[in-house]
Amino acid sequence: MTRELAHLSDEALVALAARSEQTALGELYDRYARPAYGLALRILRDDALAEDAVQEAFLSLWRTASRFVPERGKASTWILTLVHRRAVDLVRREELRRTDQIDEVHEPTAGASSGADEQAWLRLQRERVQAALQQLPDQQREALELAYYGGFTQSELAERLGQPIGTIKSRMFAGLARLRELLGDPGMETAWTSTT
Amino acid sequence: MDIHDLTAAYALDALDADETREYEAHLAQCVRCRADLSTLSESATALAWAVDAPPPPAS
Repeated sequence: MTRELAHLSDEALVALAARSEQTALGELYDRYARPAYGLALRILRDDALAEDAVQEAFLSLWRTASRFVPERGKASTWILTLVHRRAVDLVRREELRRTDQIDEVHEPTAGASSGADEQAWLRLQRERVQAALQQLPDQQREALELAYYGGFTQSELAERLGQPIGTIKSRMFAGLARLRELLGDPGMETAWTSTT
Repeated sequence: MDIHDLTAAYALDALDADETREYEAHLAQCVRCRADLSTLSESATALAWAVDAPPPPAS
């Protein structure tokens, strides 16, 4: 069964999970546990909380798989959105945000990820997005990073950066739009893989 | 405040609880925002791929 699932698209696996097929959930976990955990750890900076966020996100995936609408986006986006939302909820609750560490994203932490055992495509993807982020105007990049990795709300960002909230919203929107241009349309090939 | 303008912040999970509820209620009725959100969420999720991805601790 597992070998068979390996050939299915993410979207097909979500459709199977919606029909309570546990092996489909397992396959999705195998595919996304690593980026999910990396993201949760980046936000929460705590191993146990990051694990909690990932487990809860996959539980949420299992419970709400039937509500996934392929026409609205890729399954991978949905899964990582669930993880991100859970991690942000936790970081706000735990008040774990440490502002002195927020700018680390462009400075790879030595030893934190020995590339040796890391899947090559994850590394390539990371380098590609990091390169795109570097090309954003500083203020746009700052707004995106503080919001997405720091878990700050737009109101908190406005206060923190001493800017009107409208300015913060504009920077976030412009940053995401520019990022999209810089990255092209990654993953459009999987968007064609429809579910049954 | 134009609620349509909250789409980018929502895609980044940068709304507080009240704003999120308000925006989601709007989203259910607004085709334009659903389309915008689809696009902006893809871009926001690109940020997820920019972080180091160590294997989760074996548990």
